[in-house]
Amino acid sequence: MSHPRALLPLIAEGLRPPEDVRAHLASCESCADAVEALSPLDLGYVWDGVASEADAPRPGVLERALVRCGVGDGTARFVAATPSLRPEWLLASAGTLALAALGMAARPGNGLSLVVLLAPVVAAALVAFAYGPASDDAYELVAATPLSPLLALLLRLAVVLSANSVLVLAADVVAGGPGLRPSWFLPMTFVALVAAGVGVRTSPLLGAGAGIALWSAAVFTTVSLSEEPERLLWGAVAQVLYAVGSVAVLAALCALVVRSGGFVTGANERRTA
Amino acid sequence: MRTDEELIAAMADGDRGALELLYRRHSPWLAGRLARATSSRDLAEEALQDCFVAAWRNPRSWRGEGDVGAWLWAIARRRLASLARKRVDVPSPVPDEALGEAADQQALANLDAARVRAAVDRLPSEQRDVVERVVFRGQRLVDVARCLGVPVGTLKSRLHRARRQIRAEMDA
Repeated sequence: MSHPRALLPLIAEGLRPPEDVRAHLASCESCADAVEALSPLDLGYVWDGVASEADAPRPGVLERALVRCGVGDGTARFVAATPSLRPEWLLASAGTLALAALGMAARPGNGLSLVVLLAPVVAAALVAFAYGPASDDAYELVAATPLSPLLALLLRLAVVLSANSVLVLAADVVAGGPGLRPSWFLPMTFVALVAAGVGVRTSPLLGAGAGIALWSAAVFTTVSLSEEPERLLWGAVAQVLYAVGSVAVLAALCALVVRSGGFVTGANERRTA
Repeated sequence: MRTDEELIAAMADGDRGALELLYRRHSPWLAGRLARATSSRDLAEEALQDCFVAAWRNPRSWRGEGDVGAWLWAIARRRLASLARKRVDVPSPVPDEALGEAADQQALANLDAARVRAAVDRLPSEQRDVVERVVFRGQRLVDVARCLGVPVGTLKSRLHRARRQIRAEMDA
């Protein structure tokens, strides 16, 4: 077709042209240049934005849900990028707890609850790998966005502990337990925080190992020394100790992060070396 | 030549080239309408960008009925309204009836190259000269700016005033 010159000022004012004219605009550089010059908007600039969005990876379900709930884009991306919230991590954790729950359901009333025993172990692994430069692909976000290192730490801990609590809750109910109760929540939180603290100072693997070792030592010691290991592990005195210990470890962890402005740790130095 | 419908189907298969083609076909008139709907250029540009990003991310929301252009305009209009609600310093967008298909049909019915030429001839000489060179002779804006010895921004202002004047005459 011939150049639809007379139409161009009207198209730039919002007239939707017939299909053949639209197709011409997409293929004729001269007409495209003219209509772009006439346009009240910067079409090249807008296209750069469209192309950049189209080429960017799509936000996942969790990130989109957080944004919809009013969480800022950067924070939502940071939370959604938590390594231990990836499906493979969650599936492994859920699988471990599910096996324990099924074992308990098959043989009810048979000694210590496997689910409650495993809750701190799973939490230690999830939390240790939730935060830190050695495991966190989104670590650069902490430096590149106004998100403070302390807020980043607390966000990650809260999100991962919440996710783990949901898994344990479901497993406990399947196993015939009452669901949410301090007997698993407080020790789980304490062991997870110990794992996070050691993990931030050293490496996620050592952090998880330290948390699991601590809990295993506590369980084996009480089982071998006491006739009533449940009372020692989950009784009122133990719960108070878990609560005090959790607050102390969390305070130390926050102080460490604030003082270092992030992860100025052995793990960080190894990563940047 | 691929139709708009074929471009949407290709976008659903992840064809980025189809998105670019769709943008080249539809962004000029969508930009014009958005700019008429709001006094904020930033908001209009954001709505235009969001419109094509939404079309790219969810091309299947076009159900295969009606015109692709109308679908794009519906997305852009919704997006503009949503953005405007968040900005207290920007007045609400102009209602769709003032910009939509009826106004276009009228303008297309009135369209006559001779009328457009007559409208151009009635423009002030500075505006007429730029329209002649850029629109009718297909000269690039930077070349015209160099030839006339004026900044590109000045030429764009003249073009924008000319464009408004021509559209007003065609709508009359």
